[in-house]
Amino acid sequence: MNATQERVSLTRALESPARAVVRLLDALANRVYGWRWNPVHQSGVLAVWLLIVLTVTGLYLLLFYRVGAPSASVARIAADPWLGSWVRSLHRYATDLFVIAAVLHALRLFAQARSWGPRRRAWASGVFLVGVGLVCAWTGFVMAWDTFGQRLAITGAALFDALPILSEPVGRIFAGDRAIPSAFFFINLFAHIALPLAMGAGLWLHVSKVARPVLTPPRRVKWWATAGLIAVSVLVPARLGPAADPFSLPGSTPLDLVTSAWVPVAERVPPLVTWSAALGFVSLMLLVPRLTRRRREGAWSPSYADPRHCTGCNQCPQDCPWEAITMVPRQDDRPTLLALVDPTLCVSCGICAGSCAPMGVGPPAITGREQLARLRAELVPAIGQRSAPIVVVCCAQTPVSIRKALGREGALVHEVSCVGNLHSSVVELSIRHGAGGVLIAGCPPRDCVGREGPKWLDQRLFHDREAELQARVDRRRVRVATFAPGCDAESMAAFVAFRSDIAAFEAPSAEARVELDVECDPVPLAVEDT
Amino acid sequence: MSAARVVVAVVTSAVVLLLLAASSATDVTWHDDEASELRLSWTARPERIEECRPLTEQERQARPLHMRQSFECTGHLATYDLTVTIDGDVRASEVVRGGGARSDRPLHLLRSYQIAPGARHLRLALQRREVVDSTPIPPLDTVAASPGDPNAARAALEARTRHERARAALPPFLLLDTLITFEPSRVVLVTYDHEARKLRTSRRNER
Repeated sequence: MNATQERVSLTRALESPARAVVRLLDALANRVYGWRWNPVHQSGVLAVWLLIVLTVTGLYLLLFYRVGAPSASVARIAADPWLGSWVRSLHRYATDLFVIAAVLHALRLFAQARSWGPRRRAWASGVFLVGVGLVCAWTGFVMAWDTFGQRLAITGAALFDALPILSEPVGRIFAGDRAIPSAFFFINLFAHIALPLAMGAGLWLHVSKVARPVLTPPRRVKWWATAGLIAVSVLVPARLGPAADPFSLPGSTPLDLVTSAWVPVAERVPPLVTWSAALGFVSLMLLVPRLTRRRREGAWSPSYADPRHCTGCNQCPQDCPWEAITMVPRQDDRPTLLALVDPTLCVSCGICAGSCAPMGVGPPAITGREQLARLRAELVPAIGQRSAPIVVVCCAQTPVSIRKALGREGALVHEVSCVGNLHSSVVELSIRHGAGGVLIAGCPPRDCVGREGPKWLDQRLFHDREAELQARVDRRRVRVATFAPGCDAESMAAFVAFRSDIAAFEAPSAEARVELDVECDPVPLAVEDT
Repeated sequence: MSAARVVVAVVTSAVVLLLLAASSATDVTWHDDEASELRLSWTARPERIEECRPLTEQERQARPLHMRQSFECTGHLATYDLTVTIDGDVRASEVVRGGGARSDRPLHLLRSYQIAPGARHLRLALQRREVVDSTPIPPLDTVAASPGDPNAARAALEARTRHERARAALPPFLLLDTLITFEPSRVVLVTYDHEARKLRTSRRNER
C-alpha cells in the first residue's frame, strides 16, 4: 500500500465511525422532529442563532453588572424573579448549547468529508470560532466571581504562571494578601465583550467562500429552540455558587461540564501537560483538512467546462454554491463568454452539470452527457424489461434501508452523487424510454451535502430554471421527494402515493430512438465582404 | 406534524434541555474535605549585594557631569533559602530568587501547602544565601558637604537613595515561628509586612 493509499485508509478509518454517529443522531432526530424541523442537521445555523441570543441577553446583563462589585451585582441579577434570573439563565444555557451545536456541526462536516480542499478555510475558521467561544464563556464565568469563577480563574492563572512570560505570578491576584484590583474584572469584562466581535469577524471568514450563505435556522426551529431555552431558564434557574473567598477552601463547586470539564483534570496534572494536550488538540483540529484531503481524481475531480459546448449562458456561475465558476472571454472566434472553473474552489458537487443545457460543464463522469450515457447503459435496458416501472433517482446519502425497500417494491433505483447534479434530460430520457414516472429523492434541503441540490432541482424541474425540464415532458410523471434517515415509512409512503397516482394515468409509450445529446459543430461566423 | 409527534418532540426537547441545565452546574470536588492550607504570598525586593568603591576626584572629573557619583557599585540581587517546617517536619526547602530571566526583578512568592487541621507549630525562615555583606554605606550625616561644592546635593541624594533602597529590601533573615490553629477548609496566609519588615499571618479578608 503506497503512502496515498495509507492516508486514504486512515481518513476512512476516522470518517466512517463519525458518519455512523451522525447518521444515528440524524435518524433519531428525524423520527422525533421530522426532517423539516430536525435541529441536529441544522447545528451550524443553530449555533449562529444562539450567538444572536447570547448577544441580546448579554447586552441586558451588561446594564446591571458592576465591575466594582462583581459577585454582588450578579447575585442581584439572579435574585430578580421577573427578568434578571431567567435572562441570566438563558445566557448561560445558550452558551452551553452553542458549544454543543458547534461541535455537532464540525462532526457532521467531518463525517461528510467536507473538511478539506476548498473547505479548509471554513474548517480552520470554525476551529477559531469554537476556541474563541470557549474563552469568551470562561471570561463570563469569571465575571460572576462565585466559587466556580474563582476556581476557573485560579486554574487558568496556574496555567499562565507555568509559562516564562510574566515575572509576577498571575495567581497572586487571587491569593488574598491584597484586594483583587477592579482592573482585573474590567479587563475580563472587556475580553468578554471584545471576543464576540472577533467571532463576528470569524463568522464572516467562515462563510466567505460560500455563495448565498444561510445563517439562521428556519423560523420554526429558531423560535422553538428559543422558547425551549426560555422555558428551562424559568423553570431551572442557573445556579450561582457562593461568593468567592480567597480564604475559603470549598469542598466542591458547581461546574459547567460543557465548557469546563477540563478544569478538574488540569488541577491534577502538571500545567505543561495541560498545555501540551491543549496545543496538541488544537493542532490536530487545524490539521484535519490535511489529514482528510483526497487526490482530486475520480469522484473528487473538479468540474471542467468544455469550450466546445459552452454557450456562455452564465447559468453555472449562478448555480454554483461555492462561486467556483467565472465567465471569461474566449480565446477562439466565438462571441460568447466561456465558463471557467477554479479547481481550488470547486468541491466536485456537480451541481453545475445539472445547470448546463448543452451539457458542457461538470466533473468528469457527471456531465449531462455522461449521465445520459450511464442511463442508457444501466437503466434503459431495465426499463425495457418491465411495464412502465417507476424510476427512483436518489442521492448517495439515501439510507440503504430505503433503497432496499424501494427495490422490494419494484422500483428501479438510480443513484447519483447529489440530486442537484441530475440533468433534466435524464428524467426526460427515462420517461421517453417507457418509465411510468420518475421520483427524484434527495436529502433534506438544509442537510444537502452539495448545499443547494434540492433547491436547484426543484427550480429546474418545475420552474423553468436552466437546464429546465422540457415542456414536452408530462409533469404528472415527475415528482420530487425527500428521503431522510429514520424516515423510512414516510419515504415509502411518498413512493407508494406516487405509484398510485401514476397508475391512474394512461400507460406511457416508449420511443424507439431518443436523441437528447447530439453534438453539433459550432456554427461558423458569417464573414462579411467589405 | 401529528399530535403524537408534537408530544414526543416536546418531551424529547424537555429532556435534552433539562440535561443541559443539569450539566451546566454539576457539583465537582475541588478541595479535600476538611483540609487546610498554608499559603505564602508576597512581593518584595531582594537585598542588593554590592561592592562599592569611592571614586577619586580625578575619576569624577573625567566623567560627564551627570555621571559624577560618589561611589561606583557593582552587584546582584540576593537569593534566599526558604524553609517551611510544620511540627518539625520540613514541608519545603528551596531557593527563591528575584523574578525575570536574570533574577534582577522583585521577588514574587506564591506557595501553597496542604495542612491537616489543628494546632500546628509553624516555622518559616527566609535566609539570605550570600554570606558577604555589601560594602557598608556611609551614614547620611557623614557625606561631605563643603559650602560651594556643586556635588554636595548630589552626594546627599545618592546616600539617601541607597539608604531607602536598603530599607525597602528584604532583611537578610526573616523568621516566623509561631503556633497556629489551622481551621478545616480555611486558609492561613503568610505575607510580608513592608512597614514592619517582618512576616505576618492573616486568616480572612480584612478589606
